[in-house]
Amino acid sequence: MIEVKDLVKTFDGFAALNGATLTVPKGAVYGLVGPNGAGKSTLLRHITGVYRQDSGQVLVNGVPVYENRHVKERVVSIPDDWFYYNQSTIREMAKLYAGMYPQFDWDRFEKLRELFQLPEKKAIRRMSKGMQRQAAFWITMSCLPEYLVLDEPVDGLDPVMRRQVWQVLLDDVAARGTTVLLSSHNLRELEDVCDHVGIMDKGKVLLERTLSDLQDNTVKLQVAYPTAQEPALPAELQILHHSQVGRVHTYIMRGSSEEICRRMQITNPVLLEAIPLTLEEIFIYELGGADDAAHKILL
Amino acid sequence: MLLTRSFCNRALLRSDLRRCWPLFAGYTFLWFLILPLRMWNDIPATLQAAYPDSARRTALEIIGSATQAATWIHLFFGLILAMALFSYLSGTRATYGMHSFPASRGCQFRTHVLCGVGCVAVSNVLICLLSAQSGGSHWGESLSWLVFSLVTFLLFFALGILCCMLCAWLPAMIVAYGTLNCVAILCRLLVDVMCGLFYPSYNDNVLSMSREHIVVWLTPVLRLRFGLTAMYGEGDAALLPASAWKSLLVYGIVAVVLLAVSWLLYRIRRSEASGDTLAFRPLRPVVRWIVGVLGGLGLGVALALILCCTSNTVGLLACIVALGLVCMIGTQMLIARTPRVFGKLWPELIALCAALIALCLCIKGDVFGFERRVPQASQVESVEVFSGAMTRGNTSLTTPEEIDAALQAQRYFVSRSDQEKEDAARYGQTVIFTYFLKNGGTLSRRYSLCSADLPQVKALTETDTFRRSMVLDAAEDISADNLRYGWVDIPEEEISRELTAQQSKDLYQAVLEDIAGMNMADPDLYRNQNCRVQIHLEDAVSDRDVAITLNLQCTRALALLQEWGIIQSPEDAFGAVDDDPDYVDTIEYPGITYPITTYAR
Repeated sequence: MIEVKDLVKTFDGFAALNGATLTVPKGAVYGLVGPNGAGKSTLLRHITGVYRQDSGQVLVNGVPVYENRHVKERVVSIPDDWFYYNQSTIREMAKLYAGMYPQFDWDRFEKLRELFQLPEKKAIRRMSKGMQRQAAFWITMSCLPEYLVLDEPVDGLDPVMRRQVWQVLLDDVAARGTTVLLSSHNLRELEDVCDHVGIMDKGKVLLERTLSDLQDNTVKLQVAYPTAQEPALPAELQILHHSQVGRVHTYIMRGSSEEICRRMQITNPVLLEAIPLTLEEIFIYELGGADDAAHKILL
Repeated sequence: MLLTRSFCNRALLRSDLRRCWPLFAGYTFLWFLILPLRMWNDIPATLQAAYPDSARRTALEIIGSATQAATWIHLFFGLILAMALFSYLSGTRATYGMHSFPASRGCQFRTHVLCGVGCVAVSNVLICLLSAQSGGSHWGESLSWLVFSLVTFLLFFALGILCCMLCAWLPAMIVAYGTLNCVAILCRLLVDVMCGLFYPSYNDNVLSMSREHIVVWLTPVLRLRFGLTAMYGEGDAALLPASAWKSLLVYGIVAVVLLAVSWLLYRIRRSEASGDTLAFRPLRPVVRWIVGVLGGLGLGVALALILCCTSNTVGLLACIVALGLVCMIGTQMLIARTPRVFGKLWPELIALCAALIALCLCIKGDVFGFERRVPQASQVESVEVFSGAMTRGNTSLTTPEEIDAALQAQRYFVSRSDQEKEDAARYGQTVIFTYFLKNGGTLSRRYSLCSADLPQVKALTETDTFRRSMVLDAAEDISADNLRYGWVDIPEEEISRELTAQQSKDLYQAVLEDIAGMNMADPDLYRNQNCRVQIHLEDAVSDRDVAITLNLQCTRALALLQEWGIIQSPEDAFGAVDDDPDYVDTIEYPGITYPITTYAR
């Protein structure tokens, strides 16, 4: 489990992290979202042991990460700008990783060769951005990490390769219980792979929930009435959003789908239908109009 | 908390070797050219067989020159290798990548150092083995070269690493390296120039630094060079002289200390500092102020010298302040890596102006008491008084009475008015007092002396030692009975006459009588009388040579020379002098008067 408690980090007086708290359960795929400058990359660099925090704690399996070789052997990361020596090839970087990470698996490396199909002897710096990204995944996934920290992981990959990379990653989660923490701006993509989501802004984690919690507690209803006049709704319903087009009303409400539909029946609708909510919609309406951060990210 | 305890990381070591092998190969090849190949070339087997001594001398010469070259080669390779191994600290991507690996910072540091030192050591041992067996066997000299080579490399490598720790920006590393290595000599130069400008009695300069001077020690290239100069002075032995071994020992310890400091800095160095000009924030104002003050003073004085306004206090201050501001602004631009630095810097700029002006005025006003300082008699072990025109060399005064006389004379010089000092500086002779203090220190002051000052320094000029120094170059009393022989030369007339023991004794006795009877208040005595006669007497007991320079008051000695037919008349012993100005005029410029002196030729 990754635990971040009240993490504070300042750069030249600017608080990049201002009391961030986060928990990534073991075996989870945790998506971290937030606007630019929210502190996502800074948080991830603390978890990979690059930054030393000003205050707070960063624990992996209950042990501090910073300057701890034994913990860092279990955490492998792909930052947004992956490091490689300028003159090195994929093979040479793989050798470096193999020396650094004891669980590096050369069989896995050979298997992944078929997926990525990259020139092993070509200098990495001469490859395109997408190919460099693939090389990073190839080497990183060969390390068989217990914790995988990814910063904008599929940025630069084509749609086919994205799908394949996600598949390899999710297979690892299923087969070995790998814990994945990833940051992204793309909520639609996170929705497909994440089971936990956290939202960050101004150096704080504003909200973190499981995806199922969010989906079970928010309902989108499309309701049509005989007239354009909206009838009085039961007072106990929590309406997060309401819009109307002619006689058709759209409601976003907090609560379980069955319970809300049952209560709405008393308004005698011509049509009553519960529609699945996207992650994007859930965040928009769950955080509500009062929370600017969510709007900045999602709209 | 689990902490890593491994000494180095093998994967990182392999990676370092893979990256830096061209450097190591180049380094080894260079030494191969300088030592074994040259030996094979210059000392063929036939030479060894026919002339073993000559072959050995040639081999030692080659090793000696290689040892001298080692300082410069390692200055270059130490810097380059440190930069190559720690260059990742200059980029965020590389720094974050390296620091995310499961190896502690201490372990990474040790691995890089081990790679650099290990490879150079292997290369040097290889070269040493090849050299020792080339052109005959000379293990001692080859091992000396090996030790010298390793220590000098370690020193410059450690210095380079320290720069990499302090500066996370590649161009700044080079500046820091040069500054760290030469800052002492530059500061010393600045102090010399400043003191020369503001303190008329200042008597020292950067060229007078001894080889044991702290400034030389802080400039290893200079110190090691000095340490090796005696190499060829000890027969045909190319073994290092004692001074070089001493330097190596000191610099070896310094290198280890520098590495330890760098290791500590690396551990506390924040990853996010990569790419910054200075990796440690508290250093930023320190560097700004050091460069502002030293740059302002140094470059300001240089500008004032170019503009010929060093004697004008306002002009000098303007130059210093202007260049100080330029230096501080430039430094901040370098540190912040942006030209937009004025917003936050202006309070510091004002403070710098105030500090520079205050410092200069304090020096000018002798707030620190430099000009007024006259040591207590109880503090002084001995005094050396020197004036080229007055005495025949350094006159060493050791008795309490003589020391008191010198102190009294110096007090007089200190108490002179500015006008008197100016007049003396224009027309007088230079006199230098060097006090050797009981605490081991020295104090040296320089003044100008003109004839008007003679009555005031009578106590000094009337001392026996001072009297003797007007004629004799040996301060110690030499017995006339011990004189063995002597000779008299007049080079202009190609006259050279040897003196018998008796003649030497007679002449020496006459000189002593002349000295006792000299009128020390006569201003002519202190003029350059251009004595053409060179007299040397040899003391048989101490095996010393006494040189005598006669003046017009040495009537008895001159009479003897005339009696022996060496000179025709007393006046014949003296050539024409040209230190009397025939005509003195002045040219008036606004605010200043320049004297113009012409001489009869």
